[in-house]
Amino acid sequence: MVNVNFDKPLVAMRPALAEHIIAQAARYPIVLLTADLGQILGVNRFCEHYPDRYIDVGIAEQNMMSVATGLALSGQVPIVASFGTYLSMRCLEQVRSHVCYQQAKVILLGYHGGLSASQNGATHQAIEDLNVMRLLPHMTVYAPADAAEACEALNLALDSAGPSYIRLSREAFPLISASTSESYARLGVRKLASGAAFTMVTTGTIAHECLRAVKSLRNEGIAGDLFHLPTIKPFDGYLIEDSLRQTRHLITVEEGLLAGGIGDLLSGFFAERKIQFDLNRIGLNDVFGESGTYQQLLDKHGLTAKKIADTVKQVVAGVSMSVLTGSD
Amino acid sequence: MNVVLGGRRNSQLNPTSRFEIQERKVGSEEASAILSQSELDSLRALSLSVRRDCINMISLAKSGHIGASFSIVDVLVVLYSYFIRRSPKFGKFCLSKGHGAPALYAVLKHFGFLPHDLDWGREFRTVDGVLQGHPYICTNGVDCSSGSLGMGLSAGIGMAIASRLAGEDESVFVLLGDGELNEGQIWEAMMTAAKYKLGNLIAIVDNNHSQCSGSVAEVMPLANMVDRWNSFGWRVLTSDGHNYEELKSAFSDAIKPSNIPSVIIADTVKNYGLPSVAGSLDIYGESLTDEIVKKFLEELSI
Repeated sequence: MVNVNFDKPLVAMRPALAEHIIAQAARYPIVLLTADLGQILGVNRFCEHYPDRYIDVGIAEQNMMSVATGLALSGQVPIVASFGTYLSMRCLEQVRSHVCYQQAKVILLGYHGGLSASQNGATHQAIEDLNVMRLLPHMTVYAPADAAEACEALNLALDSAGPSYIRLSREAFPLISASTSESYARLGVRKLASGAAFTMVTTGTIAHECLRAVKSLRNEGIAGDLFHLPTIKPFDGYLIEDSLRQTRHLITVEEGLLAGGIGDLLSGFFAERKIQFDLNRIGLNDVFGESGTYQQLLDKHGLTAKKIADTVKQVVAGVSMSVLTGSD
Repeated sequence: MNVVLGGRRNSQLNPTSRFEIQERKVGSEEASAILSQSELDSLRALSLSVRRDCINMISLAKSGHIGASFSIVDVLVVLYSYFIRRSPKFGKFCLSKGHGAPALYAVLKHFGFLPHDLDWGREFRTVDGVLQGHPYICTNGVDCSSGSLGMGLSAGIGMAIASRLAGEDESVFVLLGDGELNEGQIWEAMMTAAKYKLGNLIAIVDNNHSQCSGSVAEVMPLANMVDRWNSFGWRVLTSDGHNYEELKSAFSDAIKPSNIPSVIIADTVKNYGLPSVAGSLDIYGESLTDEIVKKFLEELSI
């Protein structure tokens, strides 16, 4: 199992990424765009270094996305920073018909992803950003688990030919990456724990709750495989396939809506390969979020380490997910 | 009109004065507004040819917008004759009202962006054809895809800024429909263009007073167009959208070095060039019979 010290310093994504963008602007013709969120997202520091390349359009996301498109078509590398819910919903058509349809190299940074907008409530919580972005042809979708993966996702986005979406959390987390010897150069599927009892797959920063859950289960003698998907599109599940053929229990954990999420992604992928397994999806089941602290919200939707572990124990004991969720 | 900087802290970090230019580095010569008789004859002949091409491609596909194409033909003819150069490329153009694509394609073909032997029937609105129903970036000569209204002016801003970042001052033209001005994104773009003093951005409004469901006055009244653009910090020029000299004069004025974006309100007529239907609502390819096509082509042969 990957060795994570849960007491390690928490590293917030916002400042780490802001510094990384400034550093990378020396190598790429980056133009940073925001819609009046430069200060909140910590990216306004970019303006001190590159005032000509910092564009604030005010609270006008649709305009922002199309301005970014024009920049990309002209050889610049626009990075668009806003809340994940605005990028994925407010200007979705611009992302679709301007960015993706033209395969314009625009890098979308969706902050406050998942439930991390917490007390601001449902309108600010991006619970469908990953699901929506992966629908779009030519879009690459990243959900890093920590600040190091976030910076690596940006590197990959800068080097790719087309558009990318990177979901970022408002919360801070210890670095998983620093404690593993595995190379994550391409941010493909990452195996964080090994065991024969179950196959758990997650994406984004909720991987930390999954890690805690897997650790506590291991202490109770239930060891399973844990995979993290820092990249959900493109997706190739062959590394997970071997695990699932053995365990036959697939548990997916996502900080977002189940419809169109990674549970659906994986179940379709493995069903096509005629693998027999039971599917257990943990996430938001057709509900919006609400105001609350981050921990309260995770708890309400079964996304804390304790609740994830409880679910796994039931699954391994043969109780189906539909019974667990009362949807039978 | 001067742009007033906001009082936020960010205004210190985000000076708009950096886009001020002293002189136009890459540009076209001062175009004379007076056109000789032979120039006028050439332009008229070109307009007729473009309109015939539009009828041909739309009737072959049995699909496409005649009226929306016809009202912009003369604007495009002047633009590409004098203000956009194919080689070396100078001048970017976004047809934000993308359903006018047939006119653009016919003009692009005439000016050599598209092959001279292009087969409209094989390529326009057919699967695997090179001419999409609405402009697509992969078609040579198309600088930005369009089709969903309201997005082109924003893209034009991106291109205009990119040109300045590259140390140039390339003209970026964006052609909008007057009905298209219903879209809020355009007004967002208008504010941004003024803030960033994009004097190399030139919008043109195809002011044909008509949109899908009826006249602009009926569907969504847009009175005082000059005042509205002016109040958003733009320099407003007006022109008869079918008068070559007025158009050339307006464009010449618009491309002068400046820190204020310009808009040309071009007064046009839907279905212009077809006396039998000029001014009525759009005519779609699906409604074209052989008889109607024959009649239209006759009207265009005069």
